[in-house]
Amino acid sequence: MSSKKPPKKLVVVRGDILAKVARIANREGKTITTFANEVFEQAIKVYEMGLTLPEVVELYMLTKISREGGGSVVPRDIIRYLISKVYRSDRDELTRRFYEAGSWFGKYIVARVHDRDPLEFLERLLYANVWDVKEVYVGKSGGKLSVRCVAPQLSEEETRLLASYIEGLVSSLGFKPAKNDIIRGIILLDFEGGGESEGSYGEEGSLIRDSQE
Amino acid sequence: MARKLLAARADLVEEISKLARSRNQTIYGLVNSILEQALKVYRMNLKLEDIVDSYMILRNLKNLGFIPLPEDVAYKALDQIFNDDPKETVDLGLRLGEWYGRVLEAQLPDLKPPDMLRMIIREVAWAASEVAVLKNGDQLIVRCIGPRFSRSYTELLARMAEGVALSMGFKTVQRYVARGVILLTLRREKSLRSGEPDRLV
Repeated sequence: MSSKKPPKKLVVVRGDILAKVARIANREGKTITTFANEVFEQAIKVYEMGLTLPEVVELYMLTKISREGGGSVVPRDIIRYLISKVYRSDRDELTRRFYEAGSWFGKYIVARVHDRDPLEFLERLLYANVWDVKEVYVGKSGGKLSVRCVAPQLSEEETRLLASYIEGLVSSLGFKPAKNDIIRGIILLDFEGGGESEGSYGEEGSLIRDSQE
Repeated sequence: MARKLLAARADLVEEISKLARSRNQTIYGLVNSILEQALKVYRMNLKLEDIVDSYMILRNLKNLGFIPLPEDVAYKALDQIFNDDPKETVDLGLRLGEWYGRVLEAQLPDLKPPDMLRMIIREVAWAASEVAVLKNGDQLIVRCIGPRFSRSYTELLARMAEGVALSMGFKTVQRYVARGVILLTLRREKSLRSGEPDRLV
């Protein structure tokens, strides 16, 4: 039985990073090579999914914030049931509940992530939190903030509830709703103002697309 | 900035250099960026593989129709569904769990049953304060505690976990489910196919 080790190659890295890697590897009882191999394997897995490691780490962190902020993940049937039972008879109350849930979550984000402008990661936060979303766009121009979500699989009712949640969330960041255009699967929201956050986000918006589609 | 040499598996270095080329980056830049992310994760007392697996499971949950919902809204809706038709609700949990377990087993074949069960429960039950899956001979002991869980949510989650376990060949031999507390003892029922590696080991 051959116990030949796989061939190795040398790569150049920054000295300070290697020193930190060495400390962690040592703490974990691994060689630097074993540690680096494990990291590279994971990184390759991520890049093969069409993502980057920073994106996955950030999405994980945002999901962690959502999870710690009273979110839960449930089968879609539950929202369908809610809509079938409550939406038609008490649409305003249900819409208000979603608005308030979004508003609370926005305030929680402000309190939790005090060293960053929430607008910097609002797009990714929405992407991590909204249902079946294929595209999310957040753009700020002057005193106006635009939020667009495209989620073709959502029903009209689901889209409206989701829009209320986003309105609540963005309003709690100091913006006032200015205009909304909501049709099945598409949410277009414009806000004005922005309080302390104004001007701290780039003028150009960016777009996140579901890379798995 | 001083540069140093790091030895790594040749095939992985080759893959990284291909990735760097396709992204118009230098290998030096990409390797540093990858290692920096890994260090960031370790500083938070996490492991990169946990984050990547967690991301994959969440992405799959989303693809399979799971949606994030504010906890109180979810619990209230579920309570109503449960009161209307408790049997159908728990059956739904079992079916979803079994289906989800099969999908994920195909997508993450290297994950051992205890790890897969633990990760699925952890990714679904965000409000859980404790999720543990312990191996005891041919049995798995599942413990999930969520002080904020409603009764109906606890029951649905327990059934989902049993469904996932069923998909991996484990049957519930003992269960204790009360609001916020799930304790399951699962035993492997399905015998391994000839030549199939024992994923429990």
